[in-house]
Amino acid sequence: MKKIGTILTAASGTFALVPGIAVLITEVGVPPGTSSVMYATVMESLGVLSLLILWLNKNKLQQLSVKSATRITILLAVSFFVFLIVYLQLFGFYVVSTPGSESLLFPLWPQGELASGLAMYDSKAALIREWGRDDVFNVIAESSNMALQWSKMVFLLVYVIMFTSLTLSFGILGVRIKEE
Amino acid sequence: MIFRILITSFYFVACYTLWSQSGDHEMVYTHVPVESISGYGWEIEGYKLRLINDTINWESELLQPLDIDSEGILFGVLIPTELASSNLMFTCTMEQTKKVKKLPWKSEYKIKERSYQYGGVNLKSIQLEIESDPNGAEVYLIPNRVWNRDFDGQELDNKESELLRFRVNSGFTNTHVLIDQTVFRILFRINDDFKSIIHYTQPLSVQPSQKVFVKF
Repeated sequence: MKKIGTILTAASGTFALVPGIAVLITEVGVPPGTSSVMYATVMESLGVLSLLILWLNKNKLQQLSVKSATRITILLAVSFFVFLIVYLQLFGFYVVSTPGSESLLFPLWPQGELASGLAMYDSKAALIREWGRDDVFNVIAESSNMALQWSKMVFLLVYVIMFTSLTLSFGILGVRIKEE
Repeated sequence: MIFRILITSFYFVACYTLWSQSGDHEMVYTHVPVESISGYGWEIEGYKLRLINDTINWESELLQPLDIDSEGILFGVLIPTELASSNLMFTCTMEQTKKVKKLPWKSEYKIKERSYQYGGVNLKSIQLEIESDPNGAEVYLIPNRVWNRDFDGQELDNKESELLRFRVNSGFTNTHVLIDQTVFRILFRINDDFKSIIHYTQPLSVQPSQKVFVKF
């Protein structure tokens, strides 16, 4: 049983460290115009932080009943899936690919000329088709810059919560199983 | 005497050749979007684009915006072709003036001038050939967004001054400009006859050189 615990703890370590490195190398899931280094740094930091918190509280965790440990793990696993779906939805709605050039990230709360353009053409793809990719990029930067920065933070927050949930769920199981 | 005339002629020819070479840059027209910043109580006379480094010292003429709102400004500017294709970063300078009293207790004023340099601008690199039959048409390059907002459905004869801002000033057709991946409404004009087409610009990676043609 201790062996399984060690494997699960190692898995939690993997979920804490590997996604950050993978993001840094492949930029997977990072919205356009956002720093992959920042994504990786935040993920690594929070991953290690969550592991340290688990380590600090390992005595309390080891005293958890099987029922409680299962419940917390399932909650964290469900939280991973919920945030994964939220992230995929956000990415699908607000990142528009433009063949031949870099994709465009739209703000969650468009303002000014961008908002009126989106209202006029009904969809982001239609707006890019009618105004051109670079003109839309400039209009986003000019009219909705603050909203764009906040949108990037929302993307980062959801991404980080997603992987931290997974790290914690494996970590809790690992620490708890080692005890038996 | 003949020898002196020959020397003088040679001197003039050499001077002319040098002079014509130094000023004979091929120019290309392009649109440049830059950030808009406050004048902080100073009158804004215009803007200049600059490219200054160890080997280049170029400055545009005083530019007036084609399109302006609280956050962004769009310029039309003529740039030497070799600089436009260099992929170097240009800076924008806001030229400002302010009327101030010569002395606090006197009513005489003087005009103070200052230049405020900011931002960095990379130029576009998609080449658009603009041709017409017959040649010699004036060309107006208007972003489709601006066209829909300010010109669509309007009588163009009443919009002469606004239209003039978008005139491609690198010459008449056939000419070429540098653009980014913006959709443009291109207006051709011979006397009072207008023709317009919409150009859906392809990405640079797909088609680095594109062409529009109109027949009157």
